[in-house]
Amino acid sequence: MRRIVALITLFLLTVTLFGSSSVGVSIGLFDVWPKSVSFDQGTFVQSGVVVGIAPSWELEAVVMSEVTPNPFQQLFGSIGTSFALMGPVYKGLDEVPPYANAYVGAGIMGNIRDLSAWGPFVKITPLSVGGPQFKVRERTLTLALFYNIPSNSLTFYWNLFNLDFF
Amino acid sequence: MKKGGIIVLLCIICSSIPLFSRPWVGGYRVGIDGYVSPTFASEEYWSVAITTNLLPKTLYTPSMELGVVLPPIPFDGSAFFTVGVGTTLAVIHNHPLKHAMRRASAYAPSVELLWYISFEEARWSATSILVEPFTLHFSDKKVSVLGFFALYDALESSWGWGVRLFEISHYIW
Repeated sequence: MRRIVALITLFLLTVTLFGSSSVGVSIGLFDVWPKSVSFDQGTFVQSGVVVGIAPSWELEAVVMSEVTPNPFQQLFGSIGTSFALMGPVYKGLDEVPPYANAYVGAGIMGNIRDLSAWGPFVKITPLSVGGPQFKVRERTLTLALFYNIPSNSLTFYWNLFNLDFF
Repeated sequence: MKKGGIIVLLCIICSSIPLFSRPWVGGYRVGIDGYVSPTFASEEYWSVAITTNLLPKTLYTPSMELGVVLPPIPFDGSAFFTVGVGTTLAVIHNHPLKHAMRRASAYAPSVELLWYISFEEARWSATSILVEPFTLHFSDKKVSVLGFFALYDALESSWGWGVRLFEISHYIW
């Protein structure tokens, strides 16, 4: 729990230091490969905050929660950073960035309740449309790999879509 | 010549009016569901259907649909055919999220009654009522998040519930 609090504090400090003006609220779907040892079967949603820290870089803090069969029973959190591959996204409101983009990212995630599962993840978002200047961004089919350090296992997960409201 | 040109222009305009005024009659719908009931697995289900509007000239149209509810890859859960009827409950154009959307939208909560027929046993397995309070209508598309099912499991004679995490309907006819 201390680690999670420390990470959230670090995230907030970073946001404050960079003084970013592009902050978005994110909601989306979260799906896990059924054979994963890190997650029990069920349906999940995620929500979070995304912050532009440099023209092509953003920070994201996300909470993933089980919806069915046991709401909030599995609760994961992640903090990560992403890089825009097709061009800068956070250029200021007077300059229009590319409408479509793709992202690669990495970070750490873990089970918030007991840290029984935690470790690094990498992800790729092949298609994203919109952005801060367009008020809304839709990120589609994010694919990710999570390495669970305590159980020494890999989990494949994906976000069918994420909607970011800036 | 000038008169002929005007007539041709009028003909083009009149013939193109039906393209823009024709209401949407039907399309497909994709949803992502989770169920809490003995007949359904705890994993995520994909719901795919062909849907049609019975009164397409109004957004309050009742609709009918035929579809399937499938477990995800590797398809090791139960699968179902579905038959459904539904209707829009309200249409509010001046909604709080309208400035956050790129396209013109209307808040349009809806309700739907669904019957499930098991692939394996070929018989009625469940009935659900789906309430979708968070639905936005964008002319040829309808997007809904966090719909709630109340479900009667006919195979186990018990009540259950579920959530439709996300649904998109795309009208193509």
